[in-house]
Amino acid sequence: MKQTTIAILMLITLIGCSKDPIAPGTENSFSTKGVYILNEGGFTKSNSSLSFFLPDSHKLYPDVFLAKNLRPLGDVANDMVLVGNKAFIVLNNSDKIEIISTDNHASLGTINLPGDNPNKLAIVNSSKGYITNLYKGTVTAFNPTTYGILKQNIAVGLNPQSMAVANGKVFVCNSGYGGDSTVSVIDPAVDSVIATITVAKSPTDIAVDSDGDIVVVCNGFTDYSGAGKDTPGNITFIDPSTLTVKATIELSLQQYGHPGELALSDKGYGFTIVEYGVIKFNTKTHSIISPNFILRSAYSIAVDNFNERIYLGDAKDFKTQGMVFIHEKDAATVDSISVGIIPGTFVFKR
Amino acid sequence: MNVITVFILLIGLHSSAEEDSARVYKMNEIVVTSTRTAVAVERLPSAVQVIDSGALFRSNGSQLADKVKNASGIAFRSYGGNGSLQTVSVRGMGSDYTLILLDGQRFTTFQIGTVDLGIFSMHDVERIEIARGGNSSMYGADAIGGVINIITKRPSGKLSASALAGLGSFGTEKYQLSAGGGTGDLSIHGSIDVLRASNGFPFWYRDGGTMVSLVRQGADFSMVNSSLSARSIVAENVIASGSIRYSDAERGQPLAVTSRFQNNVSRLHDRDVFVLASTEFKYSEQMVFTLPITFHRNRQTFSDPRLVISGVPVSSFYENNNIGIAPLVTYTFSDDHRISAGSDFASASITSNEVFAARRKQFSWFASSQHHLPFDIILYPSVRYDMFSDVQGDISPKIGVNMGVLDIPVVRIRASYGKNYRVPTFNDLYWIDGGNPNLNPEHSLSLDAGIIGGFQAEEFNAGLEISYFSINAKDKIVWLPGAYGRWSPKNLQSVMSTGIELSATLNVLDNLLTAEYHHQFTRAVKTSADGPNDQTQNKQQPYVPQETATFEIGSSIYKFSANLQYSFTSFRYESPDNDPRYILPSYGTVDVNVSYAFVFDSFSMTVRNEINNLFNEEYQLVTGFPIPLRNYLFSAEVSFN
Repeated sequence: MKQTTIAILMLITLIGCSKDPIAPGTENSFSTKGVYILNEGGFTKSNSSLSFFLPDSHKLYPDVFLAKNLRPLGDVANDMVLVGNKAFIVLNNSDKIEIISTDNHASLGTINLPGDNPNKLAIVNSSKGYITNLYKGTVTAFNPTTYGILKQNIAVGLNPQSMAVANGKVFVCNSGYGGDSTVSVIDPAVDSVIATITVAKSPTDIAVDSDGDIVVVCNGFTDYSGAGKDTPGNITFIDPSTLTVKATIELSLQQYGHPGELALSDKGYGFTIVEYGVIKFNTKTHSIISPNFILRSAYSIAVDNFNERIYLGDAKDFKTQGMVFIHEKDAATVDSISVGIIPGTFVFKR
Repeated sequence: MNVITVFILLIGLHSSAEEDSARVYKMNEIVVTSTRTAVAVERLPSAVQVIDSGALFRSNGSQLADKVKNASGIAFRSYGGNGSLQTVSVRGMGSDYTLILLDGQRFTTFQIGTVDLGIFSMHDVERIEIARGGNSSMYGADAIGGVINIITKRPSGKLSASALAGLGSFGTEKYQLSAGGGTGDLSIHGSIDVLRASNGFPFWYRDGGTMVSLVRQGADFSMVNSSLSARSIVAENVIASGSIRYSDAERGQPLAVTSRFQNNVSRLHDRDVFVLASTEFKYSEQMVFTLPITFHRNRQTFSDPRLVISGVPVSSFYENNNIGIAPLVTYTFSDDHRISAGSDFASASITSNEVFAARRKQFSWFASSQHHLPFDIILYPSVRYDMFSDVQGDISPKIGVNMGVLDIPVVRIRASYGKNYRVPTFNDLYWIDGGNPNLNPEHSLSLDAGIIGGFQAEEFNAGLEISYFSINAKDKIVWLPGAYGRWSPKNLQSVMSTGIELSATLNVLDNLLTAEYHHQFTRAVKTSADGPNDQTQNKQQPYVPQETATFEIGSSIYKFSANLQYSFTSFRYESPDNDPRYILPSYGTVDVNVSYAFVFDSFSMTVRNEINNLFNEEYQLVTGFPIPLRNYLFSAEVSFN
């Protein structure tokens, strides 16, 4: 009987000769100027990563958060904002904000937001920041110094996404995934909505231009029912003092499809992603400079104000490593790098 | 009486019936799935594993998933423990490339092409046959990786009744009632089965650098399965049979664990009715007609009140209705030559708020034969033609051969080669947000070669089987992101799956000792490139393990039975580029059970205790979905025979 037991145990240990692969080691990072590339990671895969890229030496640190803190960032990294030597990273499907030092990428704290699905973040000053809660139609106010929650459930519109701060007010895009067409204006002094500005359908991305105006990209209505009742998107310019729409650049469906992310330069121009590539527009004359500026479809975009280079994130199949393409200000491609899964946000560290 | 008259007569005999040609086996090794007629397993042209009533008893668990997950050539996926979505795939091809049959008739719907084996109860199941490799020449669409045929218990006419109650971990309760009987030429059998649990099982979650112990939230479930079957000898040469199977599974659908805070409020509700009526008419000793008619309805609803899009919480429903008529005639020329021919007429429809309403009509014809030639060579040619109202049809030929090498011990070699296909699903074609109505069927060429040996003596019998397979699939449908940020399916990829399967079985002194060993290596790679410099080309398919192995040992002495099952699954890549950073690690689990039967005349009582995951192995089959650690189920059953 004993021999049989030993034989069985031996057999059990013999079964299964395939060995698990070992992931390559990640390098430590150091404090220097460069570009953060926040990779969303696959939905539910908990493989968001923060890459750090040195454009001059073409050196990439694939995941500085993991390398320093020995743990992964979390699930679906949707946003990153730099304030001084701190970075706030929004993990949408992990219901949390990770705060790290940009000096050494060490974790400085975590704000847990159970059940909120935080999407985007905006910082007003050292004592006030806001987070949009994607499926709740609300915004949460927090203190970026103490990381304490100041006020929850500030009601805005449907499925709020990006925010921008101008003229002491916070502007919130209420996309409603096509079911809303408003921008809520929050007064940080009272933590409530003081005005609602109507724009085109599905405002998703927002930024402040070189003149201090608010620029919003509205995706337009995408008819998921297949009835083909899509409506076109546009670029809307809002005066942050009068809270009125100054101008729009209409983007016909036929020519552009539904527009995507927005990137503004401090030199009076901006870009938005369209179906086939990137268009360039003038933020002063509110007109398109080049409808075919870059002919490369992209998931994300940013412009480096230092050298006016344009960074385009290509999510490829949304499952494997994405690519980042870097273009000169004249649109010529200067570099490309393989990064993490779904490169969605760029932040420039000076 | 001519053939047409017989058909008219058969159609007129609409009394409940079931496909009886699928039940002519007498011994365990006689299988019906590969050829639609009864053939001994060692004489078949391709690999088949039979999970008979003894094997069903020896393994743990109550659901179909529990019984097939460790079978040869199978890879298992589960989104949790009991009550969660569970699927299997055969030979590295994905769960939607395996056709599920119930009593020889198609059970898989055309909507997604997969069946949730986690909600399919085993209460009325007699045995399972798993025919590995392509089988479109016999069963048409979707039989690329393999065919799993679930064969239900047939009413015997004997007066019998049984009742079972079980209690287990995580608030699990299990109840079963069954009764059967008959008068004269009519036999009936009915049973009902309830499995439910609050299911708050503990698991470990790595939150940052620390492991925290959490309890799964929102995973409760309640499943009721019931069936009623009847069988009647209508005339000396006519048998009518029928069955109705109803299941209702209501359960939480917890999300992936992505933080230490769980907020699971989504629910999934499946209701499934399967009705089978069949008539068998023995025209002569040579010629037998059968006429099975099936009706299958599946309604699934999903809701997630927390996911509010544009002011409306996510809520969806899918209703599939399927009617099938599959007349079959078998003509036996002699012991050495037999031919079967038949048709398959089906009408399937989908109604959903996510999928455009659609109806598919199917007309199919097939023929297969067996020819025992000199030198103990058996040839199995077969061909099938399928025509669909909404997608392109296909011709699927297959040729198989089996040859005896030795008589004692039995050693036979076999090989088969055939063309198989899979039709685009309703989701692929008609999904409102992105479906592509211009998709074509996927094609594959399937090769199977093997050697099978067996030795039978009075005291013991032993078997050994080695198979090599290759499946070369083309025009595989994949969903890819496209314009407007919409995902849409295209016939783009090619996949090559090759592997080796080894099986050994031993039975000493009529179950005093039983042992079974299955070991397989599978390499399933995407051979096509999606674009220039495609990092996913020639890489292992995500979630397909390269190696799996099972070892089972059991003993049955008098009224006592004890069984142990060890199963190993190698690591699986999560991403199609095989990034070593994103893998699910390998795991091995041990399940055990003991049971004892007290017998008093025609009454008996069986007590049983099952322990799953004895050594608390922590593993996942889908990223973010924890599997329960050690858990048990204690049950007692009284029966009258």
